[in-house]
Amino acid sequence: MIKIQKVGKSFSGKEILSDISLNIKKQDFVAIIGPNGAGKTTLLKTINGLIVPDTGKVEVFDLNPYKNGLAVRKKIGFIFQNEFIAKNVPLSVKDVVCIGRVGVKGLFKNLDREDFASVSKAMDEVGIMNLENRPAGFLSGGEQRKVSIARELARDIDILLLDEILMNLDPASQMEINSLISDIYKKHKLTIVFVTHLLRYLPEEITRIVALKDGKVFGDFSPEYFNSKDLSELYDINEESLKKYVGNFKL
Amino acid sequence: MWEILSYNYFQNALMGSILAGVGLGIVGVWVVLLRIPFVGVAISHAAFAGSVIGLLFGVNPIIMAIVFSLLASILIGPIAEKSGLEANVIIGIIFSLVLGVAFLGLGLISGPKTEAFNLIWGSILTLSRSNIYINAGVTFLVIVFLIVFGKEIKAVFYNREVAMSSGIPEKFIFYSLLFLSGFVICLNLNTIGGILIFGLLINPPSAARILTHNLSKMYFLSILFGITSCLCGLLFSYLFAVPAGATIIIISSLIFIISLVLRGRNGR
Repeated sequence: MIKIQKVGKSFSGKEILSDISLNIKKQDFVAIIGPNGAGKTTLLKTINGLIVPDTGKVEVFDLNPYKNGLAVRKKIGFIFQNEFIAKNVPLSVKDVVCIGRVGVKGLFKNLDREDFASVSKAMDEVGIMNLENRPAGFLSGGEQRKVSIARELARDIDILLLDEILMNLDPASQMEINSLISDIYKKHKLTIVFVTHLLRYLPEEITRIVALKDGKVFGDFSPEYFNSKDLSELYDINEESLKKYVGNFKL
Repeated sequence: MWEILSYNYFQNALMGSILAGVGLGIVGVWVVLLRIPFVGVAISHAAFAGSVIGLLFGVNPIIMAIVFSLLASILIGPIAEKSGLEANVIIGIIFSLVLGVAFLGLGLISGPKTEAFNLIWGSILTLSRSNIYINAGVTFLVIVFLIVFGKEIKAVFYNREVAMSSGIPEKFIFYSLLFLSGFVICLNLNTIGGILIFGLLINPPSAARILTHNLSKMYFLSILFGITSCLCGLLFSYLFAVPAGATIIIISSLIFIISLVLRGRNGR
């Protein structure tokens, strides 16, 4: 479903991705982890064509996502890091979820009954139906994350890219969003790529852990074989010190 | 008092006021929600620079003003993207450039410079019928764009990156919003003047935003406040023989203050 072959990308002379190759199959649930600056966000953005690699190639649904950007992005959901709703924009929760249908619908066509039905279904699924008419900018961080998830669900997507969506949330919200993502994975049979730093909160359904370090693939692990030793090597931290922080890490 | 309505110049001023209220009311919502309020100042000074260059080289200063301000509004988006800087920074750079060009041109012109300064001060009572037709055409274009691309514009207001990743042609929408804003601002310079137009661009949508969390209502209130400011300004200017542009801006500021008080009372 997603084929990444020898992809490299530099910004201002600094190499962010170097010779990355990954094959992500249908219904894979991949966690991408790694230190800050390892290239995790850049990798996600190359998948949906927001960033064009300098070398190598990316194929999604057997299409080049830069040349077929609009078509490919219609089937890929993306929730960005720090994507919080500005208070100055006068949009209700429903308005924001409807944005998910805008790209699907295309230009010169208004959203119709079918679109609004998808929007209501998505809001119902993530449990924000009661917030429908509330100004989106005034919601809590956890509620705003649910709005973003509903927006992407309303689009009828095949792939969901999540970039550190648990950041700036309290532990209860982190657990709630994780469990929501797990439910969505099971129910919609999506392919999910989940970038995170919060190793203690990796969803149970994860099928692979891909670790990036210095723009390269450090390791592609099956969750059952990923442990504290791998983690200490990935982050260059003493294993004992790391255990104090993330616990005895073993999935 | 009513006989004033029979004069052509006053009819033109009246129509110009309504068109300014509608056009600036709509593009004002765009620049406020895109958080690029200084685009008005940059574009009006680009028009000023254009008119100065026109006078210097013997070309129609109004045409040069339109060309310069449209160029400025077209260039903001691509330069911001190419440089990786925010649109607001590029607006500041364009503002300083056109100001430099305008002052350089003023220093080199030996004859009268009144036509160039008219764009800075504005003179609503000298609007011609052709001004009105052109303004009406561009205002119509803005309304059509808003109706046709309303849902895409909403997505761009929310988050440009999300809009792009949702399969929306956000660059086309964003650049079109900048271009149309530049066009409306430039064509209303005769009505309000380059310095004061900033107030009519920002005050009505800001007052509207304070009173509502609904985008459609924000457009409606912004247009209403824009038209009210312009018509009241024109009326007071006629009754008390005071400058119309300045009065329009003071009234739009008063509307903003009243909205602020009303919101305080409603506890929102």
